[in-house]
Amino acid sequence: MENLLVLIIFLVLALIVLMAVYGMYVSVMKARNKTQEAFSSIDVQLKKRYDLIPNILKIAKKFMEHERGLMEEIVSLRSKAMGVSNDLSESEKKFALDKQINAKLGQIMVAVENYPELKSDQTMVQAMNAFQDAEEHIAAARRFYNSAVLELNNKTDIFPTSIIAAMCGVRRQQFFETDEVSRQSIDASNYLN
Amino acid sequence: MKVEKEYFINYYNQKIRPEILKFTKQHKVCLEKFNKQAKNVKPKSLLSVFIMPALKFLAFFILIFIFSPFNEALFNKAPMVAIALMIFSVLSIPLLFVGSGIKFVLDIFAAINVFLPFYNNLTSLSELESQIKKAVMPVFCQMFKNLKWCHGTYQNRLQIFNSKVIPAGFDYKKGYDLDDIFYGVIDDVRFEIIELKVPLLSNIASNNIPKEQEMISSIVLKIDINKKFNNHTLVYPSYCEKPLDFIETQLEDVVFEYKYNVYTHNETEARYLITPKFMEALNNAKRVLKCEDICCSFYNNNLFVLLDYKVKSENELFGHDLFSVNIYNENIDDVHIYMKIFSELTNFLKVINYFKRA
Repeated sequence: MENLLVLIIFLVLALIVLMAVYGMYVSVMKARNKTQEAFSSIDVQLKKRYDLIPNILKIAKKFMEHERGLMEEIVSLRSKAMGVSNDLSESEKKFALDKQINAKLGQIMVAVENYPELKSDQTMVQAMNAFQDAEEHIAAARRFYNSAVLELNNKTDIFPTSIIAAMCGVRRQQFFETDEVSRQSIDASNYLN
Repeated sequence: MKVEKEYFINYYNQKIRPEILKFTKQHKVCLEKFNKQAKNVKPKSLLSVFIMPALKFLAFFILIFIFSPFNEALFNKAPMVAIALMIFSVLSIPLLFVGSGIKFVLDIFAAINVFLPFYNNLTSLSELESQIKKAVMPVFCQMFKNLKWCHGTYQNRLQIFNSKVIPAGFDYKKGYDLDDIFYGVIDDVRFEIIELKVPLLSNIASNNIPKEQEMISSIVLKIDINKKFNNHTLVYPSYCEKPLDFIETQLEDVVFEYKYNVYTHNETEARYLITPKFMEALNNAKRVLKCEDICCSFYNNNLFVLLDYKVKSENELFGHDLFSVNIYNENIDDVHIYMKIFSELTNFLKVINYFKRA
């Protein structure tokens, strides 16, 4: 009789522990899937931006002969970025390429200021507005992705979910950060003669 | 503010006051007599208003239907009809004291011409204000560029319902009426300011006898924002229950998350719409307008904002009724009535500007 009681208590405790472990496993998987979903939404927005780039460069090329080298670099980076897969494991490579594209595009946008005819061209204005809208979508997707990554990283770093995450091969992910150029404060002397 | 006041007073004297005089002339009374008459139509508390007429009707009924020869004839010819009439009349009296029965009883009594003089007065009360507004508001709106006024329509009610800007738990159970609607364009952005009349439920006593029927105004702002979106996103105060079929999403702003919950069908789109600038605009709106609660809904490429005034506001600008031509307490040509409407409108337009830029 005593042995039976001990067995029942042991079974109940084992069930509770199993349920707790299962609960942690579910939360880790949910966090991973949410991060994947957020990464996909960034990917969609980045692709929309990459689709806009040829249009902008085509309009700019008519006016900006001197910036031809810069435009060719952007085209090359864009092709590489479009070739990266949608998998979460490729996120670092994707973000690194996007940072480079962003930096080059920033230089183009600054150069546009030196060409008033280009700046006032109607097709260019429309293209810039569409580009600006795409940037806002990317910013929103970035916020969603970073929020999902924060949740995932908490699961992978904090005990006891970290054990479950390690057993399932779920690793911490990198945040989608803005590039160093845009984070630096602007020095006006760079723009003034 | 001083400049605005002076500008308004000049405009009032040049354009609005002549329109008021024209209105009173149409009623074939001079302005002073009109103001006196308007005050005599002032509604008293419903209990005091209905007790005396109800007692009069009871006395009248007793005289006509029980003791008169006519009733004897009716009783002889069609006893069942006479009895039915008596029972109906007796049972109708308690309905006078029950909120929802009042309009029904009023209509019946008006039909049998018992309360007709009073009924005419009651309907003429709201009609009077409506007529004054129809005369004055078009001229009033000319002060602002591209602003127009109209009275509530079914289409507005439907779009408010579909947007789900009013949370399920709010005290709008007894329904609401649409009152004044202002619509126009600011810097290529179309907007509507829709006034809702909501019964002040906290004033209803526990035995369901309504006190003086107080209505408070809530406002729904509908702004045609520049952003295109496909999904439905809601921002509710944090104590409201979660709407069905929406995902709750957590944003980064800790203060915002403490006060509001965001529900959406697409988390990325929610962040695209609810930017830090938008959150700041929301806080500004609540501070400027001193409303109890704010709810937002992004629906059908429009932003709907509900400004809920649950309790009596002590702010001098807002009383129970927004955009009211308060002829019960003031003279119809009193500049302060219209100055109040002007102040209310300019505040709402400022808030629309905040949201437009967010």
